[in-house]
Amino acid sequence: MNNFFNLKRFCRLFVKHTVEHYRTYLMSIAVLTGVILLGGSFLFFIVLEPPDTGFQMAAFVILMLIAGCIFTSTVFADFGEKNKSIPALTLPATAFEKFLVGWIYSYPIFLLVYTTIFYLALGALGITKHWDPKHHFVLFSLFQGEMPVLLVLFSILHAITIFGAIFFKNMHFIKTGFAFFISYSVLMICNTIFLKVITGLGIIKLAMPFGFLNFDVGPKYYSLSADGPDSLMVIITMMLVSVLIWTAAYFKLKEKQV
Amino acid sequence: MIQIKNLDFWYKKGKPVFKNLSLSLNPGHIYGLLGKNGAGKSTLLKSISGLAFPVSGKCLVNGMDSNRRMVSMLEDMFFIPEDIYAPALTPGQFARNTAGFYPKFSLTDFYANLKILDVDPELAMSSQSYGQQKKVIIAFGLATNTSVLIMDEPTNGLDIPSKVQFRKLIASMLNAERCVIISTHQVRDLDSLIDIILILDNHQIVVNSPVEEVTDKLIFGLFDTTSGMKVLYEEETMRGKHAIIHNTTGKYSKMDLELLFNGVTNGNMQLVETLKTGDRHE
Repeated sequence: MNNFFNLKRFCRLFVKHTVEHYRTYLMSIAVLTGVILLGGSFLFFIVLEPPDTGFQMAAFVILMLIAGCIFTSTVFADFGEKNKSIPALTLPATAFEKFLVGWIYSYPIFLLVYTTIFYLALGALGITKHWDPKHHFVLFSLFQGEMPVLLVLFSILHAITIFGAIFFKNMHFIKTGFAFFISYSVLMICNTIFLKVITGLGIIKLAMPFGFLNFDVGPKYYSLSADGPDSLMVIITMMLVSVLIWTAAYFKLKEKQV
Repeated sequence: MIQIKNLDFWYKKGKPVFKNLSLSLNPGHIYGLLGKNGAGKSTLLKSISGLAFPVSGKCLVNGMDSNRRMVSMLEDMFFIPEDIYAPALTPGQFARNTAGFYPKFSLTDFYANLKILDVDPELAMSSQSYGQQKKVIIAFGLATNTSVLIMDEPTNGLDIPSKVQFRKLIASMLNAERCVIISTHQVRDLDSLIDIILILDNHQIVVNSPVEEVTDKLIFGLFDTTSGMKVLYEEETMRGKHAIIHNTTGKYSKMDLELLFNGVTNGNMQLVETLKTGDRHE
């Protein structure tokens, strides 16, 4: 008996989760499609020229982060509701298998579904509208240099949200968001104080973790940031932080009580 | 089968639910766990099934620490909570998706149980009443054939005919390998079903006695007067005095579980001590 992971049992759990939740997930997809189509139609209506790829990318990222966090915060709702948590926790599958089902739905499956819907909706809107003949509608490409950074950003927000989804019993999205902003403010203040201490400089702005270091020396103003190999280190560090939070979320689920 | 060793539990420090509680539950019995509201019945069941972690002490199910919620423990235990959740599936679909997790599950038993409990297996559970949904979960729990079956207030939400069918089902599925624990505050629903009485009061199991031992030590009856009798507990009613008296004659009387429960939870130490002592009337 494998008390950590068994593929057959995991597949059975995945199927059970899908069968019991597919209606909700299909409704979520319909809502997401509606939001993109409605928002996109409005934007396409008010602008005369086709939106450039930079604008499309920005819309893609913002909506992805918001929709991803909202969806992730619901994926472990069964473990928070009193009447659902007992069958969910006593179901003979390991905590890792239960965690993995939620993780797969909220990370790779979400990204795949979201990207497909966004492209289809944007493509449909772009083709449907009659643009000025001088302009051509061009869809943005996912294969850009910023994509790894975006994935890292999504990963860290996903990790925080999935932790909140397990940690809190209800109102997961709101409570996680509240806790996140409070923690981030405290972290910024601590980071600023720490930088002041180690550099001995008069740092004039709040210093975000992994962000710019802004300071004055005499009449000159400096703004420093990590670049080259150092920026890669920032990405690796953020990815490691995501993995750490995912691990913490798994252990939180393992210790979940009713 | 189930060993609880020196269990200490509290939700809020200074307000203990259990203090150094120890208990051993064996297969082949139906245990009736009784207690007043807030006595900790549900908490005890949750501790046994690894859903609530004690402050100190251990709960072992088939030798495994329940806190670890190991698959090998979970697949041989089924918990029917007081508030059940039924997904938007038919009972048949639910069984097809969930039965695979329980190695000893019997689909034949499941459909037979549904028939006895008068539940349509092809009607979505979400469109059925709460009582019908509960019956599906009960039918499923019984069909898992797990060696430990835990039920928290199972008769809540059931109508009178369903309660009768429920009692018959439970009685029929008991075997030498199975341990059934039923928690309730509706003592009349289960008085003909349970064979060992557990009464939880004042952070402890104050009574842990087989029904036959109780009826051997005590006589339950309705009397016009109890003067001159060795009364352990009595309640004045319109029809006379319902009383529990010390059985010194070896006569048999039908146990009045509600009266016993009232006597014990009203702090009648003489009654508790009588049940604890080994002087059964042979």
